[in-house]
Amino acid sequence: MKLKRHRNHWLRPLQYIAALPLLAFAAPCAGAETLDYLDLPPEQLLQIEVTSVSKRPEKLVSAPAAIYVVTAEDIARSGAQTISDALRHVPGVQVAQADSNSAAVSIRGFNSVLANKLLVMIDGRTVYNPVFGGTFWEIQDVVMEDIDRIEVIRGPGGTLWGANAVNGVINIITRNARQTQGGLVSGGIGNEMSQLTTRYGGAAGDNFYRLYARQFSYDGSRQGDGSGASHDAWSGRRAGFRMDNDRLTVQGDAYRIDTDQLRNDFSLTVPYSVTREQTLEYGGGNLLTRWQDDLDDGSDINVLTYLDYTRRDEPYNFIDNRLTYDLEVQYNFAPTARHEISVGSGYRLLVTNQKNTPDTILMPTDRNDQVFSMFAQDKITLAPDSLYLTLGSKFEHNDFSGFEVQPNARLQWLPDDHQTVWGAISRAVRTPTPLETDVFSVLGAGPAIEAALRGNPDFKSEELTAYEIGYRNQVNAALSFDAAAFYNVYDRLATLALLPNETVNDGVNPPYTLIPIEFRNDMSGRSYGLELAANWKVSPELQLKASYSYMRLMLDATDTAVFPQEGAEDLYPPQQFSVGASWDVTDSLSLNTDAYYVDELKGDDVGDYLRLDMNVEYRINDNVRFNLIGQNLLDSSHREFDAENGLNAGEVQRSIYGKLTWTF
Amino acid sequence: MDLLKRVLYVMAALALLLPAGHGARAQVHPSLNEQKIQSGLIYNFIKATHWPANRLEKQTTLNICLIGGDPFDGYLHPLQGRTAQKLTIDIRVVKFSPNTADCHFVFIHNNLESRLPEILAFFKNRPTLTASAIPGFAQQGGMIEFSQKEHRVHLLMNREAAHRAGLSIENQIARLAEEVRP
Repeated sequence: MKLKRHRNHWLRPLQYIAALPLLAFAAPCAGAETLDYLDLPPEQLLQIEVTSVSKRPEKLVSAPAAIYVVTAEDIARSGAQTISDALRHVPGVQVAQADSNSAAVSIRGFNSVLANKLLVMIDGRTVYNPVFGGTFWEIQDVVMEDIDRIEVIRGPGGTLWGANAVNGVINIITRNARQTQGGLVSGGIGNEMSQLTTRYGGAAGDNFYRLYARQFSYDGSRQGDGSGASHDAWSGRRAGFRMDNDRLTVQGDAYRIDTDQLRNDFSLTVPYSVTREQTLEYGGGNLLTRWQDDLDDGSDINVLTYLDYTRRDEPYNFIDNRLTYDLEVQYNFAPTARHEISVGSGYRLLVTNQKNTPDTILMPTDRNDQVFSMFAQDKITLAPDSLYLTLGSKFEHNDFSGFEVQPNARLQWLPDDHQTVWGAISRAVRTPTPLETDVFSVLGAGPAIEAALRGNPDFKSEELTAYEIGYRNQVNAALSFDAAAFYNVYDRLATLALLPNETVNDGVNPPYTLIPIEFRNDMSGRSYGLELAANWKVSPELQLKASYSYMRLMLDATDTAVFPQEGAEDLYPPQQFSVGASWDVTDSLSLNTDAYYVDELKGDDVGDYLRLDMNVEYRINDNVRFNLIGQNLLDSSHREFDAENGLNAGEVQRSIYGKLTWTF
Repeated sequence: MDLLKRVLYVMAALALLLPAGHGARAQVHPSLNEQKIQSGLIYNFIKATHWPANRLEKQTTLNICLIGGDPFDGYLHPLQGRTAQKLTIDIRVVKFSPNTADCHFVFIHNNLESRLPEILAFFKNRPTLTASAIPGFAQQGGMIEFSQKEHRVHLLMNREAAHRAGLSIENQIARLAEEVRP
């Protein structure tokens, strides 16, 4: 491969690479050569070398990791209206609707409405909330028709994506504005939800853009004990835009979402604890710029920068206000024919301001946290077209846990051009959150006594060493299957420890006893499992897919751990199975059915269930289509998850939803 | 303020690390991705093909149909609205159906490989320019096939298929393709 030698000054000292300039705002290569590829003469086009070193995702068949891609077509056919529902077919992923507005999603165990071992991103922007250590799915309502694909990587993504990608990464990628030209109006109404979305895409010269606005509202779910409706209805509105040209993408959104929840309000006087209804107000917006350039020698450079503002106002808890600024640069190059190297660095600044309530205090209320990171990866060709070794590591310094290293090694063997065998060993960490290190939150109260969670500044990162292998076969154009197995070794997992009672004289209340509880790292564990997926295009009109997941988790807490931490051993479904069928009955009618079986969550008393969703699509003409979507058709309601504190757990109800979409 | 100063200082230092020669990209052999090259070649083909006169009269648009999906990731779409053969180009992404007889140029997506015999039988002798990246397309009766050879896009053409359909393609571009005689 004829490539120019890479420039040495990219390997300058870490201190320079540690923080980066606003490259995105420096004038990109000037020039009108944005669309000139369309005007080049054929002789020249046929002379050009096709780039192969790039950040373009590798052809799915040969990637050395457990990757599953949910395509735009999968989403359209399933009728999924939320991202969490679109993930139900992915093996190894646990999706449980905890109540109407809260979804619990995780990979390979440790599920929770705030699953902290999973990194979630939208177009490269992290939506994982670092205070709570989890993702609030209720505020990630992307317009489903504008999603190009969702990439789910099971297994540690620490090397490329950084901390908190312990058990996996979910990457939601929206379509380029070039692909969403014209108008779209969609409105739907059902017994559980209603929504209205409008989107318009156009072009101004070589720049393509789209604008959208949407509004939605969901009913509450139902209480399992028959006591009627839960207090968990929610609604919101969102608007945004995206602009793309040959090298630059700029996008942004703003939203305002309200969710109903219940909360216990504690005091030292009778009745000590009152369950209150509250409405959480979420609001925020983001602006993201991505710039990429392909250089003459076949290398390429990508710069991503974004600003993300989030506000979460929980009246009986606290108000969390945060502005995140992020800047990342990645440079991919191939100095010799046998090495494909990626290097990158990133800087993130989180400016947080909190307003506390007497029940929950986070100190300090104003903080700036910085994360500096750098990664390097080399894909070495051991035997051309058949054996590759990828070695890489990410180095991070953050204000929560100091310096972290997350290395990995992957081997991939391609016996021929439709099979891949791969293996990997990786290390990943989950960094502490302010809720573990700096909080004071009352958990219960009685006469002259209070139990409270108190921050532990010595709380350390949780660690994982993962061993994985996989096999993938694209048998022919119609049939493919994918298998992955893993063995995970966890250390320093979070536990809650009870400390000796203290007497408190705060000058306000009469002296009372405080029972402090704090987070420690007193648990280790092992898990292993198997994930299978298959896809079969039976005929041009009929496509089938199936997936199966099996997992076992064994946890080991030392004696200081009080509350049943090992209970997480019983909080994942040992097996999951799903089948989906898409049938194009006629040119205008399509039928899609998805069935999901999820094993019981023994620890939570959540029984196993079989769920059936259907989507009937009727295309009235080239521009108008109607969808009738049914979810949970097999029973009037069932529970998928439980709540951590006994509140806020509803049953998922049978729902029917009709949607009309007009494109022009 | 200290934080801001520190960031600004490093910003300035790092501005120097941008690869030199960045502004002076050689124009002779820029590297492009495969879809852009294919899109450029398709535009050339559309300008260099002669359709039978009665095929284009009374038409308002030159219909380019991507059957089975858009394999160019949107890189062909900027042709929308441009002029060729004195008509306005209209690009659509469609499923395979009898309606595709309206198309003047079709590109068959790789996903439809299993239906290729049926599709080629439909277009046989119709005055529609057919193209695809499915291996063996030209051998089976397709007119233009996109392939890769030595890291460059490689064209194969079945001139006889085009001739039987009443289409003729200017030699200036036809000579750049490898001829396939089934």
